[in-house]
Amino acid sequence: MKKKAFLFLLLLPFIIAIFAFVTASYVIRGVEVNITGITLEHVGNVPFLLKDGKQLLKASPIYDSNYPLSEGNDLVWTSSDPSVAEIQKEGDEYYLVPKKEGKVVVTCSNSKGTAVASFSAVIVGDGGAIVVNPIIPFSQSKITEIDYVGLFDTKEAYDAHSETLKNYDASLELDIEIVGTSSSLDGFTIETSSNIEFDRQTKTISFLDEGEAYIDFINPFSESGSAHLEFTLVNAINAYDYDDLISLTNKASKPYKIVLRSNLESFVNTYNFDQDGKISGLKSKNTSFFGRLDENEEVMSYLDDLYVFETTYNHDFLNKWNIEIDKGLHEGEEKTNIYRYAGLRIQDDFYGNGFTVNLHDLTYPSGTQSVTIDGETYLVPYLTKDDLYRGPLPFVTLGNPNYSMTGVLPMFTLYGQDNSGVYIDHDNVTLNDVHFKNCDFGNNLSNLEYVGSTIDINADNVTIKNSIIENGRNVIRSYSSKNLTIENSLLQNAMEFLFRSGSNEYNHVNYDENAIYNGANGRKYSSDKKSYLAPISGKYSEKTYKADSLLTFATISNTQAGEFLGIVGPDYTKEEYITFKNDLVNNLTNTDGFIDQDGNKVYAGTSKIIHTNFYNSGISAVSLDTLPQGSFLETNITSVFKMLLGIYMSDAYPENMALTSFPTRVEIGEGVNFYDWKNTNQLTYESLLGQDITTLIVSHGGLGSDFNVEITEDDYLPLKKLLLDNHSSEIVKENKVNLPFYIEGGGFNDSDLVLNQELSEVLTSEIEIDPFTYSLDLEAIHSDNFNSDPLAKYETMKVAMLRASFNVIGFNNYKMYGLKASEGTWFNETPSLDYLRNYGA
Amino acid sequence: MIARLFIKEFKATSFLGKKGYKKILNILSSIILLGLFIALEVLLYINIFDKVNVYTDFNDALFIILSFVFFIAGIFSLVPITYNAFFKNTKERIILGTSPASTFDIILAKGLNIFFKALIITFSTIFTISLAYGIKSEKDFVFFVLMFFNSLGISFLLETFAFILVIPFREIRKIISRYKIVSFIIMMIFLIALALLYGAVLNLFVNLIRNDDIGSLFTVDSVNVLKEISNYLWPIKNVVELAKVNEVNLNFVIFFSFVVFSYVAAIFLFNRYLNDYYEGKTEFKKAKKQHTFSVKLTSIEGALVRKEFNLALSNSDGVFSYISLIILEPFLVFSVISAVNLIFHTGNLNYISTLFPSIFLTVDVILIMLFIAIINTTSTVSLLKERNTLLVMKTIPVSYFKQLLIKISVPTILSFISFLVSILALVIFNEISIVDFLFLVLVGALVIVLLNLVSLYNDLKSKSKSSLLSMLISFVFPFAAVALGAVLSLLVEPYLESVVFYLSIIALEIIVILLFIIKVKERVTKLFMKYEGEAR
Repeated sequence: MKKKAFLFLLLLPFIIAIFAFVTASYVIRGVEVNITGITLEHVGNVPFLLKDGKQLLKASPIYDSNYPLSEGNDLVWTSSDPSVAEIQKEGDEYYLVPKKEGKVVVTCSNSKGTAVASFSAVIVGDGGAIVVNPIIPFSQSKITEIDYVGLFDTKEAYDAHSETLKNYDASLELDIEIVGTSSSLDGFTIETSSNIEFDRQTKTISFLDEGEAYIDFINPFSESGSAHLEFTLVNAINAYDYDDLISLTNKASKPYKIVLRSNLESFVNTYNFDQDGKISGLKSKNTSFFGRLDENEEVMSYLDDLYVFETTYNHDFLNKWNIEIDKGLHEGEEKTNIYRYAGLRIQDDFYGNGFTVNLHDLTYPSGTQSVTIDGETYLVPYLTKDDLYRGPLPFVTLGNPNYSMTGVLPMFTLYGQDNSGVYIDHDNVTLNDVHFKNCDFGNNLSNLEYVGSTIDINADNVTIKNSIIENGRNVIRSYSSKNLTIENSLLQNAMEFLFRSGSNEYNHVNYDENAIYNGANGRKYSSDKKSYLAPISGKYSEKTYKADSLLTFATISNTQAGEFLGIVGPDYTKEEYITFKNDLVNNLTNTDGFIDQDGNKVYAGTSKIIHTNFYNSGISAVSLDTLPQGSFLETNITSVFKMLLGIYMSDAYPENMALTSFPTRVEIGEGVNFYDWKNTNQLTYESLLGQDITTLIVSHGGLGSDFNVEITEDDYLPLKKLLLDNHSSEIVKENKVNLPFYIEGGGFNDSDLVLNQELSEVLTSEIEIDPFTYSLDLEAIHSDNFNSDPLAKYETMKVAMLRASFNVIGFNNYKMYGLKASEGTWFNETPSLDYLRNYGA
Repeated sequence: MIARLFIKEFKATSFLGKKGYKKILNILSSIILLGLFIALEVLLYINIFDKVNVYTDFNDALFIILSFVFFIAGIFSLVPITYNAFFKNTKERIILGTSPASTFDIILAKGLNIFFKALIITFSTIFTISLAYGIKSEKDFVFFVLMFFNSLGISFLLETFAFILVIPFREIRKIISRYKIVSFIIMMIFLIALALLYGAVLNLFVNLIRNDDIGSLFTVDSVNVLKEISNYLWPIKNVVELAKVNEVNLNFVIFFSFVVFSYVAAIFLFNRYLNDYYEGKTEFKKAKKQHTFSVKLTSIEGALVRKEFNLALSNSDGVFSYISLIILEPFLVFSVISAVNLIFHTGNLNYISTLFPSIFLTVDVILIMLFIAIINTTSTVSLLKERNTLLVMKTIPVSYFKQLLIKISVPTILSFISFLVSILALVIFNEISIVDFLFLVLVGALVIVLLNLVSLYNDLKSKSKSSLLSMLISFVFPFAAVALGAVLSLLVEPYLESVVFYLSIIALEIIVILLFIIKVKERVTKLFMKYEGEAR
C-alpha cells in the first residue's frame, strides 16, 4: 500500500499541473518574402578588357533561406549604356558584353525592383585604362548618387579642430590598377579639386576642406582610359564599424555628425561560415557586424552599449506600482521597468551613404520554433530570458505590469513606448540615404512583436530623406516632434503602423469645471465632476444619470448579468446610453491649451511626408495616436468591474489617468504611395491592446473544466468586424484591403490629417467606427437556469467584458480611411527602388 | 507440469498473493492506480499532442520517441521481475533443479507469467498512447489493428530482452552484494539518478504547460534533432511505420528479425544460464575465511542504538525501503515543491494563487507532511523486524520504556535529518521563505515524532501494519492539520495568516503527541510483554 501511496504522491504534481494548462496561439500576418539585398562580386569601378569579350556577371541575393521567395525575385541585370557594354542572357546566366571603350553603370536588381546593387564597368581598349577605387569601397546600394566622406576619423581630432586649426585626420586610400597598358602611374596626369591633395607614393588623398571633391587620372593616350572619382567631404566623423558608431552615438557626450562607411549587418549576414559553423570570413569587404563577438564567436550582450532612457510616455501608473512595492504592497512582486533601450542614439546629421544598419541580433528574440498553421509552415520567434527587447512598456495594466518577464498576462494592458533601433532626441537632425532595419523577420509580420520601433523621434526639425526604414513593430514613431519631414524614402514592414504620430503632452480631467450631463427627457444636469465620476455609493436601482450608474447598466444590459450579480437597476434606454456616452466623453476631455491666442490649433507634433512609399503594414500605413481615456483609469468605474477585478489585481489601480492627448498634424504631400493591400483574414487590431479575458472567464465563470473559452479581438476591440461588416463593399477588393490612415479612438483625438488632392480622390471618405454603440445591441442568450447554464454565463460574460473594455480604452469613435476598392490603386503592386533613385532626376 | 508451474507462479503474484479483504483491496488499489496512470498518461499525451501539433511533422517523431522510452522503461521494469521469478527464491533452485521438469518447461511456465506482466506494461503504455495518437491523427482503422498486434510483438520483445539482460543483472548484483559499502554507494547513486530523472521529467512537463517556455523545448534545432533521433529508434520506429503501412515489407522484416533474433538469443543464453544456476555452477565459490571473533565492550544503550541503525538500514524493499526513501526524500521533495510552486504561477492556477495567496503554502505543507508520513510508514516495521531478538529484548536489563524510546529515536533522527536537508534545499533555492523554513522545522519534527509514536503503539497493539489508526495519522492527519491551519488563518489579518497557520498545526501536533505519550507510557510494559511478534 505504501508503494502505491508513494507513487500517487509522485503523480500528484502532474495532476495539479494539468489544471494549469494554457493554450498556445499564434497570429500570422503573412507577407511576401523578398530578397533584402544583393552582394555583387564586382565592387566599385571594375575593368573589362574589350579583347576578353563577354564576362560572366555574378551576384548573390541576401535572404533567409528558411522562407521561399515570392515571385519577382529573380535577378536581372541592366547596363546604363548598351552601346559601351550590353547585357546578354544565356540560360540563367548573365554576361557583360563590352562593345567599345568607356564606362557604364551595371545594375543588378530583383525583377520587382525592391533590391538593387550596381558597379561601374570600365571597358578598356587598346589604349589601356586606369581604374581607381577607394580601399574601403563605397556602397553599391545608394539611393542618391553622392558618396560622402567625413573629414575626421576620430572624435579627438574633431573636437580639437577650429577655423584656424584644420587637423583633418581622415584620408582616402586608393586602390589603383592600370590595365591594358604598360604605363605606370607616373604616365598619368593627376588633377584634383582644391580641397584635396593626392600623394602618389602612398596613393592616398588627404583633405583640406569640406565640399565637393574630385580626382582625375588622365590617360594621355586614351580619353576613355582616364579615371574620375568624386565624392563630397563633410565636416563629420567617419564610422567604419560598430565600435566607431557606438562611440559617436550612445557613448558620445555631445552631438557628432556621422558619415557611415560600412554596412553594419546581422551576424549571419556579415560572415561566411565553414561546415562546422565557424566563421570563415566576411561576406563583403564593406560589411561588418553590428555587435561584438567573444572568443567563442558568440554575440556578446549589447547591454553596456545601449542608450537607456526613462520613457518619455506617461508612466504615472508604473511609478505608482513602484511606490506601492516600496510600501510593501503586492507581496512577492517586483518593481517594474520605466526605461527604454535604443540601439543607436543619433544626435546629429547622419550620412548613411546607402549603407545598411541591421540591429537584428539586438532586437530579435533569440528563440525560434517552427509552427504549422493551416498547412503553412512558419518560423516563429520567442523571447528567452536574456533578450533585451521585449515589447512596449505598459501604460496601464489591470494586473501585474511585469508581464514581459513573467509571462503572466494582466487582464488588460494598454501599451506605452517601445524600445527602438534608432532614437533621435536632438533637434535639427537629418538622416540621409541610410537603410535602417531592426531585424530580418521572415514571412510573418507578427514576428516583429518584440523588436521595437525602428526609429523613435522625440525632437523638432528632423528630416529623413533618401532612406529605407523597415522591419519594426512600428517603423517610425514620432511623438511630440515638430516639423518632421520624411522625403523620398521607403517605409516598409511593420507589425502595426509604418508611421505613428502622437504626443507626450496631455491634460488631466478638469475638475474645476462642473460635469454637464443629460437626464430624462432632455433635462440637463450639472454637478461637481468628482461626484459625477464617483462610484455608486447608494442604491444601484436609483436612476441618477451619473457615470457609474449608466456604465453599470450599459455593461449588463440585454444580459442576465444583473441576476448573477444581484443588481436590479433602473431601465435606461439605448438612446440614454448613447447620449451618456457623449456626456462622459465631454466630461473626461480637457482641451485646455489646444487653441492659442490667435485661434490656431496647438499641435504637439507636426510632420510632412513627401515622395515616399509605404509598403506592408499590419494595420495601417499611418496612425494618428491618442491616449486612452477610459473611466476606469480615472475613478475606477464601473464599480462592478472594479469589484470583479478586485481579487484579480490587489491594489494596483490606475487613478486620475483618463488623459486628453494634445493633437498632432500629419500632412501627406505629393508622390506618396501606399503599397499596402493585405488579406482581410490577416488584418488584426489585436496587438493594440493586451488582454487575458480568457483567464478571467475561466476563473470566475464556473463554466466547468471542459468548457472551451475562446476570446477573439471581436470580444474586446471589434474594429475589424465593424469595418468589414459595414464597409466591405467600399474597401474590399479580391479579399484584400488597404487602409492607409488610422485615427485612433478610445481617447479623444483632435489630430489632423492633411491629404493632397490626388490621394483624396482614391481614398474613401472617412470611415467612423463606434464599437460602444454597437455593443449596446448585443444580447446574450437567455436561460431559465442561468446560474447552472455555462453557455448562458459564457455569452453574458463575453458581452459584458466587451462593454467593460471601453471602461479601460475609452469611448471615442475610431476613424479610418481606406483605398477605394473600385479604384484599386497600387493593388498587387510593389514599390520599386527606382522610384526613389530617380527622384529629382 | 508447465500448467501447474504457471498456476503456481500466477497465484504468487502480488495481485493474488494476499488473502481476504486485503486481496480485494490490493487488486482494487492496483486497478485504480493503473487506471489513474493510464488516464493521466492519455490526458498528458493529448495535451502535448495539441500543443506540439503546430510544430511541423513533430507529432510523428514524438510518438516514436515516447513509445521507445516506454519500451526501454518496460525492459528495465521486467529485468527485476524476471530476476525475482527465477533467482530470488534460493530454495526453489534446489526443488526445481532436481525436479523432472526441464529448464525449458520452467522458463516457459515462468515466462508466461512474465509475459502477462509485459502485456500489462505494453498495453498500458505504448498501446494506450498509440490509440490516442491514432485518434488525434485521424488514422485508419488498420492502424489500430496493426498496433494491437504489434503491441503483442513488443511485449514479447520486452520479455526476450529482459531474459537476456537478467544475466548481467544477476552477475553484477552478485558481485556488488559482496561489498556492502560499494553496494550502498551504487544504490545511492542509482537512487539519486532516479530522483533527478523524476525531477527532470516533472520540470519538463511543467515547462511544457507554461507557454512562454515551450519554445525553449521545441526549437527548430531541437525539433530537427528529435526527428532525426526518432529515425534511429529501432525497432519501435519500424513498428510504428508498419502500423502506418509505410514500407511494409522492410519494416516487417526488421521488426520480425528483432523478434526472432532476440528470442533465439534469449532462449539459448538464458536456458544455458539457468541450467548452470540449477547445477550451482554460477554461484561464487566462497573462499574459506578465517573468522576471528572480537568482542567489544560497549554500553547496552549503545548496542541498542547500533542495532536499531542496522534494522533501519536493512534493505529488503529495494527502491521503497526506508533507507532508500530517506535518501530520495530531499530530491523528491525539492522537485515536487518547486514544480508545484511554479505550477501555481502558471496559467489558470495563477489566478487562484492571486485569489488565495497562501494556497501554494497550504499545498506545500500538505505535500511535505505526506512525504514524511509515507516515508515514515516504511520504518514502522522495525519492531516486526526484531523476530528472533524479541526474546533478548524482553530479557535484557533495560526498561522496556527505554528500549522503545531508543527504538523510536533512531528512525526519528534519520527521518528528521532527511527532512531538514529537504527543507534546507527549499529555503536555499528560495522556494520557501526563512519564516516558513523555521516553522516547517518544527512542524516536520513534531509530525515525525508523532508518526513514530503512533507506529510503535500500532505495532505493539494490533500487530497489523496497515491498521486504521496508522492510516488515519499518516494520511488524514496532514490534511486535517493543514485544513485547520488554513481555516484559522482566514480569520486573522493578512500579515498574521502564515503565523496562525503554522501555530495551529504545531498546537494540534503537540496535543496529539501528548495524548499518545500518556497512553503509550501507561501501557507500554503491558503491551510489550504481550507482544510476540508477527508471523510472516
